[in-house]
Amino acid sequence: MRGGRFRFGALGRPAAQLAVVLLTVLGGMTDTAWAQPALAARWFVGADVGVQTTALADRATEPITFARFAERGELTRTQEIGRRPTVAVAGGVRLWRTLGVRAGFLQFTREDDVRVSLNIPHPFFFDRPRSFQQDTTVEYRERSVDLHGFWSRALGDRVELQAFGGPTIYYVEMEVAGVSVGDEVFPFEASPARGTTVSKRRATQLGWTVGADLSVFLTRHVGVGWLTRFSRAAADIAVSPSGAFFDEVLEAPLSDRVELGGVLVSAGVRFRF
Amino acid sequence: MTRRRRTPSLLGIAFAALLACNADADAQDGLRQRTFAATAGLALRQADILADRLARRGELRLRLVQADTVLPGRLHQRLVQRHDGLPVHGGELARQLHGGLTVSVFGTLYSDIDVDTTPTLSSDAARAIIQARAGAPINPTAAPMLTVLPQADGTYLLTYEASVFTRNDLRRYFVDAHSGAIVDEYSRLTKQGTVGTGIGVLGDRKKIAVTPVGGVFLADDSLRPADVLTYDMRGDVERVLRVLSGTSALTVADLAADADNFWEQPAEVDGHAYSGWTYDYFFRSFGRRGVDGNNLRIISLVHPVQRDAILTASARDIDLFYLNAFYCPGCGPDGNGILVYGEGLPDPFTVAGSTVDFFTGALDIVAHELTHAVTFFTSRLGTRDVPGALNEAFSDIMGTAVEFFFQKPGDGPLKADYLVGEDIISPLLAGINRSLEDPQRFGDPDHLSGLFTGFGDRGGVHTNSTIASHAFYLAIEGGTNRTSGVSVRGVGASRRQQVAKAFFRAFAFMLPSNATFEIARAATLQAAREIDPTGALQTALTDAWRAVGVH
Repeated sequence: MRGGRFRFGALGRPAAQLAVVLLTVLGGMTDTAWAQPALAARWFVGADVGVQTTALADRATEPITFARFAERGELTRTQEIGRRPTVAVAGGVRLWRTLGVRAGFLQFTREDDVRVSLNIPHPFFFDRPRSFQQDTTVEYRERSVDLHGFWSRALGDRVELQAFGGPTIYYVEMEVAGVSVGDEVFPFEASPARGTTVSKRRATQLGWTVGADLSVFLTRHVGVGWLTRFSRAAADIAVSPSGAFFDEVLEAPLSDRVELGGVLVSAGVRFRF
Repeated sequence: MTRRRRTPSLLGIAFAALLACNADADAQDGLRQRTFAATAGLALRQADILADRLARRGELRLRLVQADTVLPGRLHQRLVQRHDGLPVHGGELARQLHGGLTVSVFGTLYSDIDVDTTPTLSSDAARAIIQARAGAPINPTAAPMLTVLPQADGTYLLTYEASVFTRNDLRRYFVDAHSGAIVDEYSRLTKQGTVGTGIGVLGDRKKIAVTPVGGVFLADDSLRPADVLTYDMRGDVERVLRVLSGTSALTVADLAADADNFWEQPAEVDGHAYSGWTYDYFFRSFGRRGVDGNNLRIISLVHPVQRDAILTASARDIDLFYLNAFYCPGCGPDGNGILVYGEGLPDPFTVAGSTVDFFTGALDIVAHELTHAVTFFTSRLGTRDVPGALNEAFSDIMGTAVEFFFQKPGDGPLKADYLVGEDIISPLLAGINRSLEDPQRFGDPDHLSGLFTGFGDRGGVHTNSTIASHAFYLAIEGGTNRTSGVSVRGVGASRRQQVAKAFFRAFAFMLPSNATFEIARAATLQAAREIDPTGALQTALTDAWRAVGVH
């Protein structure tokens, strides 16, 4: 697969706890009047918390080698994904029979730990690189806006199944780790690296989404739901570290095709009107 | 090559509009290349609007945003030109922003690009072509990339672009994505061209600091604080003599030079590299900045004679320029001293059965000669009799210390040991080689009782030097003196630098020019006391001097 490695994660513990609490609370709001069948409602709104698969940009984590002082230097960025809960809200309206449109907003955020290592060759000696290593964190934020069509079906009075799909617009902010490199000073024994840097890259990309939502209504208007969706887009994002040093030594600016979206599993509250 | 029908692009139309009102947009090659230098007025507005429009159309892509480190609040964008998603080589704008307003736009853009972006050559085929030309593999993280390459005649080519690090260069290649022809290539090392690589006398690969001038690389070290200059005298011994006497100047044309920065003259490589290493040793070990302490230039002459002309060489030339290396204080046009390194002997000539290679091939010899220069600018120890022996001893001690600083301990070539000149003489030869560990091995005294008192060798400066340099050895490694039978417990190899520091302080700063062995002993003990208050260093030195008969 080009562009990234998918990593599935188990449903986050906070998300699971939240779902249990919601069920308990909403279960207490008993309303015995179930006069309205599921599809009689025209509008709905939902808010979810869940987990989403995600991908690392390969080139942001592969070693980058460069020519310096008649030798090869190397920058490595070892990145560990630090997943955060994904938040999604959606609302929609049934327009005709079982069909309707829905709009949604989703925010997925990661805060990854990165160990940055830089080896710069010595100007006078082979195989005697000056080494620098430091840890930092980089943030990856993916916001998407959906405008989807849906088909829904009532499974009894309390349960409603909805399938949806359509275009999704992604706005991505990806931080790239690098190293700030200062001037070389005789006798060149110390690394000229001064510290890590983080550069923000942005991209906007159109993609698509398909998914399903299963809602169980505990009262006439309030319920809980489980959502599973798969969305996909790919954006070219520059992954070269910033700074004059890398501008000078890199043979070509590095960019990578980063896979956006992924599989989202979430749960939350549902309201219908 | 497949070409698209040429249609006026937004760039072309914009260029025409710009030209009508923009004196800062230079017209070059008809309407196809434009250089922007817009800093104010309508020109700036037009350039700014054009950049925004092209960015929205995807013809310019933001590559980098940097905050100005000099003027807070300023941002600098770099926008690279794309055509059908491919980079256009050389097409780039640099836009400066302040508070959201554009302050300046500089750069070059290309218009009316009419090249089809579908290659007929595969990326793998392009990789193979480039690797075959370069003789080296392409970095896996930078595979051949499709690029639009503007041509001098105003046309465009679809190419694969890749950079390859060869053994001595970083080259960028452009391969026609249809025909497979290499249409352009050039070096990318211009910004870091002050380091070259070469093969030394013993076949080892090393780096040398050089200066690129006019398409060639010169043995002029521009990385160290002092100018380290190595001149290739091309075997013109008469010229060498004139240079030494100050009647002929050295010019840039005399500097050792190489066209591709992969140096293949081993005498030049080692002479230049080892001079730099010795400078580094004195700086890093003693904080000394060059031979005079003030970064005086270091001039070395190599190839003073033609090796193959030995049959017609005079006895003086053979002794001085084939089988010797020397520091000539006060020599040269500026009177600040010059180092000269012997050429060695051509095959099959030998000295008493020993082959002799270029004298620059031994790190300890280069360091030995440069230490003579340090001595000249410090204690000015004499050059005959006992002061001369101390002068030579100091050079041998520093030469050995430099070896241990840069080379791994051991026997054989390019290893640090207590032999002098072992890397260029085979088998080792009394009269040229010396041993600080066992002076008697080459007939040199290891005890004051063996002091040579004749007239030869300027009163035995080389042979008698081992009395002091053997004390240096004993203070570090310990052992029993073969003549006196006195045993010394050395401070150990881990403290070799400390012993060297004591000798440096004593010989450079404390000794008078007419010093005796006794004064040398007292000075080194004084230096040791001040360096190591625990007394261990002083004890070892006291025992070492006693072992060699100096009380």
